[in-house]
Amino acid sequence: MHRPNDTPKSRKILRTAAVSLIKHDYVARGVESHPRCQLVVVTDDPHVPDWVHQRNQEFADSRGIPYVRDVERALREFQVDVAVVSSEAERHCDLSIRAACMGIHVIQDKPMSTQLAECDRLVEAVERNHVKFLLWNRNLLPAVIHATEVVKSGAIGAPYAVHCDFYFSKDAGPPKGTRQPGDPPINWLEFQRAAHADGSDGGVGREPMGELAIEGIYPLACIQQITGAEFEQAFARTAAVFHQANADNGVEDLASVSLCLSGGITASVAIGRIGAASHPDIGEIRISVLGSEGAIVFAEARPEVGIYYRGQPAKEFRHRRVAGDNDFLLVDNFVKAIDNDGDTLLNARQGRSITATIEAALRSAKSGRAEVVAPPAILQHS
Amino acid sequence: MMRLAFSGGDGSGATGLAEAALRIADLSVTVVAHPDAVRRHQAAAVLSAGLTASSLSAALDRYGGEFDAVMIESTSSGLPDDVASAAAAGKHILLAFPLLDSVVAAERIITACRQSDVRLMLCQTARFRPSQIAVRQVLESGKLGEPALLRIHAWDSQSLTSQRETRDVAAAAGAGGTRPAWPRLTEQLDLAMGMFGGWPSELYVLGRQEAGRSRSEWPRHVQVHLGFGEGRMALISVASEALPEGERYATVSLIASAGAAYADDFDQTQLVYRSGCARAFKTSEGTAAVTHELREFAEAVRQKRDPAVGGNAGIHALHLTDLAWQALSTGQPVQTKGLQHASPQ
Repeated sequence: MHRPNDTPKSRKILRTAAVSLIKHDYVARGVESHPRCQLVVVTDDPHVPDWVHQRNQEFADSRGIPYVRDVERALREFQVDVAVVSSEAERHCDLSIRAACMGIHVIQDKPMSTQLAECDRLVEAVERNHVKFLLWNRNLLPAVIHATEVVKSGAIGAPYAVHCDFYFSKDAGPPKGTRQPGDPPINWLEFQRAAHADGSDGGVGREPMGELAIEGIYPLACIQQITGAEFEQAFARTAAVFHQANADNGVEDLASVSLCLSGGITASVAIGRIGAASHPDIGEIRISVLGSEGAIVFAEARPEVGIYYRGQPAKEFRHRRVAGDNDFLLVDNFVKAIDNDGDTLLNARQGRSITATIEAALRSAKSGRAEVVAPPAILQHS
Repeated sequence: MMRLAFSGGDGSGATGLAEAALRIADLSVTVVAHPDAVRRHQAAAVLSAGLTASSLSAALDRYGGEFDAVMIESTSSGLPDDVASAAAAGKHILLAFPLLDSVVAAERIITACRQSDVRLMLCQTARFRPSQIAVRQVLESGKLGEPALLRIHAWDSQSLTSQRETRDVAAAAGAGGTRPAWPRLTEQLDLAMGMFGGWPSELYVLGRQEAGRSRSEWPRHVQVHLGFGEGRMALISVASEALPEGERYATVSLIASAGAAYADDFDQTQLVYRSGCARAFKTSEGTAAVTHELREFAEAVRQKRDPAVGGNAGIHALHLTDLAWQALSTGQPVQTKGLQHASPQ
């Protein structure tokens, strides 16, 4: 549809590269849902394992586009405008930085990184090269948009306390306690590779990650959006309660976090991968906000529709989310940031803040103390 | 048949008690004691009690043979003496939770009841809400596995808060309390200990610092983070003066090793459309909680066993409230090692 304010620049098709697609491909699929983005190439480094090449190749074949085993060459020769990075978490920042240093805008899957220093490097690269960066998130789901609007409208006054329940009721391999004497511990990477089949390989990589590191961005980004405040301090408790893979690799599948934010705001997060038996749908995701003039409680899943029928498979969700437009809206936000030289919904600095908060929470879980969120290594570029 | 005397209070508890008593076949209220003649007779009418007295001691003197147990709503500093008199007369005791917000007074009360071999139960009605009972029953059945993460929200409006705070702060001061009382918080701490069946290993408390509010008061909102043994944990959000007039919001979710229970983040609300915005109206649980509570008391007396919420539960909750105050004041987690108490009842 023609809009009067459209300019030739704003209608420019953004040539998009999928840079490593070894995880579930929802980010790449989300990006291609926007008419301004056109996937033109899949690329990765030549030295990655064969299974990585295989997944990249399969995705490229499914779209009828080339797979190039040289990131810089692909980005250059295919005149790429946008890189979509969805590799193992430990490679996220490196791939994004390399794209940014070529003047290419970046959409990156979560988590931002397993290392805070890598996030600092990314912030520096994005800001120095004046490219746009978007960390994938759930902040444009209908309920989150609505709740944010309610809070921003002042309907409950100034928010001063936020809580988020963020539970995924998926299983993750054998239950804790099922490893037999003499059995080796579960290898994290092999386990995550196997989990690819059902899309629950969010923690794929060599470094084991707990639920806070893998999914913590979602509730924290939501809190960040609703309050507009900065995370300052974290206190956390963590445990491996449900899954043998988490117990074997010393990473949590359940956590609770208390947070101090700027402006005297407090927040808390209860997060876990709590097993399929614990909820009939994808899981309980609820947010509550106390404000100076009232409060709001909302369910991230709504709008949804309940569907039940004879012979329904046990694992099929009884409640299905509908009218979700998160993918399109995120990419639209990103595209508009490019068009208008504006900011994205979750930029590199904000993503780094979330990673630092998770890092502080994990430190706290070990130390038993409240831990300060590490400030960024570099100041904001002018 | 248990015959119950009702003593003290502002009269507000009589209606709920009367409704609940109607539903329990082997319980009746026979005596009402109150110094104010108007309130005394109003309560007696509501409760269909045939006998009245101006005080508990007067009721014991005149009608001691007409009741087996007494529900005392008073929070005055004279409560321990009243309880001692009633217990010495062999009367079982039902008291407001959490025992005057004073550990010293609570211990006197517990000792008096123990020495007279009468049952002491605290009205911790939050434990008897139908949703709480359902969660605890399924947890105790083992179907959920081990409790892992409990999350509680308990938010009140100003009027509900101020009534309770005024009463209990005064009571705490009168009984030598060293921190302000906040019964709603103490109730939630008791719920958490009841759910995990024990004392936490650490707690961390955040509160909202507000201009014009003294540091000797609780903030209007606190966020309590409890750690229990074996990696178990709880997050509790308690707010006063947070909701529109007359409103109260209370929800619980429990994540356990083999399942979960959610009760209920939308607080059993229904939609009503009128002019203007859609409104959410709460579906009342009626007098179910009070009825469950009274039934438990009557059965504990009949079976000569400890009731579900005995005096020690009040002591534990008071100790934990003290620690929460300490944690809030210092801004640091408080480790409870060395402060170990027996498991709450």
